[in-house]
Amino acid sequence: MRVVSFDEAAAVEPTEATFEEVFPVLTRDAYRVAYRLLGDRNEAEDIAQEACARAYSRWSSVRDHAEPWCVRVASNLALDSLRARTRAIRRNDRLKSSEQLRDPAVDDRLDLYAALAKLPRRQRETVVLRYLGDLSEAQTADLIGCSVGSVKTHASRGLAALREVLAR
Amino acid sequence: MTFDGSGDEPSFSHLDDPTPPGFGPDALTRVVSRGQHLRRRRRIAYSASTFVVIVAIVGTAVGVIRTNGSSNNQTINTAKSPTSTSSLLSPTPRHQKSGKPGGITQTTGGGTRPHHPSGGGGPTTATSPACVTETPSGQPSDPPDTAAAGASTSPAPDPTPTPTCVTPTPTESGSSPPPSPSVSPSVTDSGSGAATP
Repeated sequence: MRVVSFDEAAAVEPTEATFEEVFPVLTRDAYRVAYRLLGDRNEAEDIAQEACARAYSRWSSVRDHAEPWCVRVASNLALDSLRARTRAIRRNDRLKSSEQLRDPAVDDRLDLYAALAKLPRRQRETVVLRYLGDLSEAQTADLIGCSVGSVKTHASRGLAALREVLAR
Repeated sequence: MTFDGSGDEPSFSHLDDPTPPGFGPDALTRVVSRGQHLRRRRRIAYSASTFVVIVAIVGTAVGVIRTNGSSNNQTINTAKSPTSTSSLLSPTPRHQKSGKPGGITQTTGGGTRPHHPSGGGGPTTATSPACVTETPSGQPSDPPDTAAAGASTSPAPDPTPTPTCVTPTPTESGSSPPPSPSVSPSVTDSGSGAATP
């Protein structure tokens, strides 16, 4: 199976592209958002591959917006994983002294997740897709199902709330 | 934890993996096989749910049809008994239903049956409720009814109204000759009535 490079994949029109052609771009974007949220290589790889597999399973309906779709699936899977991780930490206090929590990167993610969890759903989705997923405002608006102006509003309000929470 | 950037465009690039892994052909093979598995599972679930919906619709339709059928039977049954009772109570609707002098038509039913005692009801029995009350059950008239009816109604100029309903009808076969002159007009009527089923 031939795997094209990132540049070749980026040059392919999304509506005409096959899954194999855009696979590198999809995995790259999905991995990036998953790693930003989780900070774990293996887990981010698994999530990126799961998001791509889901895109493949419904490729006929996803191919027009495969990249933002994969980013959204990966971010949702990563947030689910973070939620489970936070729940496990709360359940077992021994993990607080483990090496995993001494890692500042993991602490950063947990703080970020805690701050994101306090945001309203729309603002959280917008911030994650727009800034963690590096999607454009138009792509975010298309995924969420609102206007670009609403995305701007949700993004600015979400970032302000995020700064306030993380500054404490 | 903070995020870089200022103003409206913050950046979370400091959270990125410095050495992101490359996904080679083996990863693509795994992803494709996993995607096919997911697609197969979704199709199975879709087929199963479609089958369940179809079974539910068909079952509902069969149930509705059965319910309607049983309700129709009940309607027929309930429609019968009020008719018979109402005809017993008031014979007028029966006459309106038949559209002709009901007494004649119903007595001719008896005319087809030679043993019918009220078959000889002539025109004098046209207004006789005794003949009306006998016919709904489809059975031969009861002698008490006919006797009572004959005693109660006699608009005809016949001086003896009782035999008009009680006496057997002289049918076309002529099995029983008319016993009285008052029956003679009923012969023609009953003959015409015998033609009607």
